[in-house]
Amino acid sequence: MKIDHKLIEKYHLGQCSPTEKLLVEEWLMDDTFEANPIPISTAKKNKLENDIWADINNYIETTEAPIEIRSKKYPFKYVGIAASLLILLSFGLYQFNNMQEKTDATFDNARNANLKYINQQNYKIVLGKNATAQINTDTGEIKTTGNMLFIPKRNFAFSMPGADKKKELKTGEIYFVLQPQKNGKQVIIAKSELTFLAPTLQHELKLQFNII
Amino acid sequence: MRPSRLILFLPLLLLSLMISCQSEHEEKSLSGKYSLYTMDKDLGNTIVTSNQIDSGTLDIQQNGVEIPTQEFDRSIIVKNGRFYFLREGKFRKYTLEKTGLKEIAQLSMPDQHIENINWLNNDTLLLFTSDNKTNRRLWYTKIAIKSFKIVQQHELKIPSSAPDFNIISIGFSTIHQQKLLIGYTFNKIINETDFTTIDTLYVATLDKTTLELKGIQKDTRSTYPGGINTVQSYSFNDEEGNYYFMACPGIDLGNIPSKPTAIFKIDQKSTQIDPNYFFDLTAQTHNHAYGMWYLGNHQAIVRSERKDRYTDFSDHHSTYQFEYFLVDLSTKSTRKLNLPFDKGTRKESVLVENGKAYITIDDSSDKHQVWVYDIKSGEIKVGIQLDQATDFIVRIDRLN
Repeated sequence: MKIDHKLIEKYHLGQCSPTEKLLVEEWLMDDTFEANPIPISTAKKNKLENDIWADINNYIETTEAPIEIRSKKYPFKYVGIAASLLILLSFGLYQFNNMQEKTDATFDNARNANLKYINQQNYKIVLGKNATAQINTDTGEIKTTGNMLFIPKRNFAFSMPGADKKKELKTGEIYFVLQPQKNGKQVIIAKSELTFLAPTLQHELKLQFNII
Repeated sequence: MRPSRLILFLPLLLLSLMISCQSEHEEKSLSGKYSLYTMDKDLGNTIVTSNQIDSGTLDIQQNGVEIPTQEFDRSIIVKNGRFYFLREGKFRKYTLEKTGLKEIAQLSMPDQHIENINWLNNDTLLLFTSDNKTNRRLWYTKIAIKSFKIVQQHELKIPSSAPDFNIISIGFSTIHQQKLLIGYTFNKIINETDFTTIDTLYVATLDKTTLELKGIQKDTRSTYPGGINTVQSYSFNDEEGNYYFMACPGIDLGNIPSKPTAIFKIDQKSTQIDPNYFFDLTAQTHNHAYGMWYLGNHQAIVRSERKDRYTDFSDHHSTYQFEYFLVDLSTKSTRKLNLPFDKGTRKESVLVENGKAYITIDDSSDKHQVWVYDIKSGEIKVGIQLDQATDFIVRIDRLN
């Protein structure tokens, strides 16, 4: 099976079969770069290499005499303290970053006419074209400009600007978060409720997120 | 020590076996006369069948079959003990099994969705499909149902009317005066969550065999004729062969609410919309309606929304707002039936049989039940009731 954009989209929408899921995950974890070798002979390749080096050499400045820098010696004790501080600091920063991801996050796809897929610890989102989103899992607030798909990895209670009560978003379901309407209200609709929207609107939303 | 420990666990094992046997024992009715399709509170879907719907209770989890929402929705076609659905480029035929719907045949119909269907007889089904990408092309497919073969397939070229209205919506199809009549209109997208419909409804007349386009009628008294009839019914023939269809410009079909919801007539002896017949429902109910079912003797039931109860398209389905009106096609009068407010936008919620109209209602006291309207006496009583795992009863069909 070939990995293509359609399969990746299916994966992000949670519509993959277990085999497809495994395949996509293996592909995502794989760091090797698959590329075909350039179809030229070794002689040509060597010549090309030499030519490129010759070109580059023209721009490389040669210093007349190397300047010697004497390294300063620090007692081992201070190096140890500094290293410990550095470790503590980076651990703190890492925790802080982690908390940032957990509670409040802003996503920007404003200058992009394609979909943007984002995988967070507690949810996945697909930002529609030219959409931005602000998601706070602590306060349960979602604000978007444009449309977004929200795929929770745990159950959330979310509130939208203009809505009076929180809505329970469940794992295993895909939610359409729609841009603010004329009255400033944002709309959130489960994929299973999409059937209640006007057929023209259903079709338009499916097209926007390639789920036809 | 080991054997005695095993003995300790034995009663537990027996108990769990008994429980599992008991749950297996619960009656899953698969071939009842009637089928109900529910959307459930746990966001799943269920099909439950029953031999009678006049009284009693059903538990959708115990008596019903779970339907995966990744594969199906309530637009499933139900006919003579079989189910039909167009999914992933294939029109498929299913039987209902304990574990779910089992596919028994399929036909390739890539990149299309169903706009309208028409059963010409028990073995012949017409499908009108549109392409998924542009929603503008239109195909006619005639299928022999028993052998599950495509008998005839054509792309129908329907001319555009305005350049910016480039989505087609098919609202009805009927064989009338030996001609194929197709009711349709055009929509346009305004922005990513808004659209509207052109102020005109159209009826194309085609040769029923060659499918050659013979003419197009226009009517601007209302727009958006019918709707997707696998989700809800919008048209019928009366006993004399006159054809009636409703136009639905309300926010949940045409979204051009300045036009009225109205019933149109095509006389039995003509292929033309009767210019003298116009039953303006909005003028009487001050609301828009979606869905119409024939009771006989020129009476029908329509399902009407209440604009004072919902805000916009986002809460249209979850608001208890729908009323059922008895309409008289001859006198053009309406009378509200004494039923609780129903919720759920567009539902196949009425089944007419043996002098009774069975109306499914999901009311504000979280009851999900069939109401039985006796057409002759006008009496209304409660019929079969589903349990509270149900959120919406979205269709009621005669299955066998």
